[in-house]
Amino acid sequence: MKYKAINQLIEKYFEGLTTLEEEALLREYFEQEEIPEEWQSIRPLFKHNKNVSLADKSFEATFDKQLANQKSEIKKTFLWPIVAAVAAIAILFFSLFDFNRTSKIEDTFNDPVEAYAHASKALQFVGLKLSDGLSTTAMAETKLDKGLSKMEKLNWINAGIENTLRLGEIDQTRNLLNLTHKP
Amino acid sequence: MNSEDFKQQLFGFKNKLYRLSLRLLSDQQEAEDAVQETYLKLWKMRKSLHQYNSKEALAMTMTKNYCLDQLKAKRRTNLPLYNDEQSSSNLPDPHQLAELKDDALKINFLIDALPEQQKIIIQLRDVEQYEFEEIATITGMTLNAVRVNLSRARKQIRQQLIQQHNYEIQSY
Repeated sequence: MKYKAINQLIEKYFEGLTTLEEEALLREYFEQEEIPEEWQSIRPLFKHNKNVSLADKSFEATFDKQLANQKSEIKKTFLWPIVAAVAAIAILFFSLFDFNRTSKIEDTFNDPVEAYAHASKALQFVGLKLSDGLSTTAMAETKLDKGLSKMEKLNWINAGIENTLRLGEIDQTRNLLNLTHKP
Repeated sequence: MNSEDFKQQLFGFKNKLYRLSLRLLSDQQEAEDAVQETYLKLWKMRKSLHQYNSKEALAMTMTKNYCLDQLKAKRRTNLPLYNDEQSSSNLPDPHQLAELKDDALKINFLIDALPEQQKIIIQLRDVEQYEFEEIATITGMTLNAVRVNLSRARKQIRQQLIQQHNYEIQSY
């Protein structure tokens, strides 16, 4: 190709005005060994390396793994509500079943008099234990009363505080003295 | 769409996504993670993918945004004083450039020193050969802004190359 035509293309190239076809022509031109001295320096602009590439198989394997991870995540999120629902139904079912069973209480006594005797005996026993418990709380109460009476002595502190408040009167008298000295 | 169809339809341009990520993040592992992330997002939206004219442009946009977010997060944690967008481009070291004998290495080195937007545009145009309309879609810029930024990026690289060339001639 003529020098003039190439020169024009190079100028267009640096203005960003060449088409892809024209740029292909330039690349082709700079492939040859014999080029004028003035264009030697810009030769690298037409020698880009396009051979950098990914390792196909390992790239695909990584992608497949990512897809698999995604699918299992989706499964997990779908699965949990189902597990929860099944558990809830199971609990409901068993509690109903259990309730039915305990609601049927069989009588243990046939003679009402005998039943009354047994019941009053049991209640007496409960009453005895209750009064035992109450007697210990009564003891605690008297001890608490003793403690509180000692606390009353703390009133002395109040009296002391009142006395210290009187010290404020000294301040007042000092102020009065200051006022009388001023004029 | 099952996963095999998905891969067949969309894995064709995965290396383009990878090269863009690598350009922006400068780390192979992080770049691969970015591409994985993009495909996972595309998978989640597979039922609405037919609405997009170009799935490739969509994927490119998603990858670009993800990488820029990563960079922003990094800048926030590593360099708190580094909040000016333009300051992210640091001028290339001429001595380091001189050591690179291979043309492809030289151009890589110089693109890495460009500001992010110019980096993206020159990657999409000069490496991946996208049409201007596609680049405008991916970057969210107007056609004119794409051309202006591309021109700036190319001229910036030219300037560095010429400087380097003259320096080499003088030293002979």
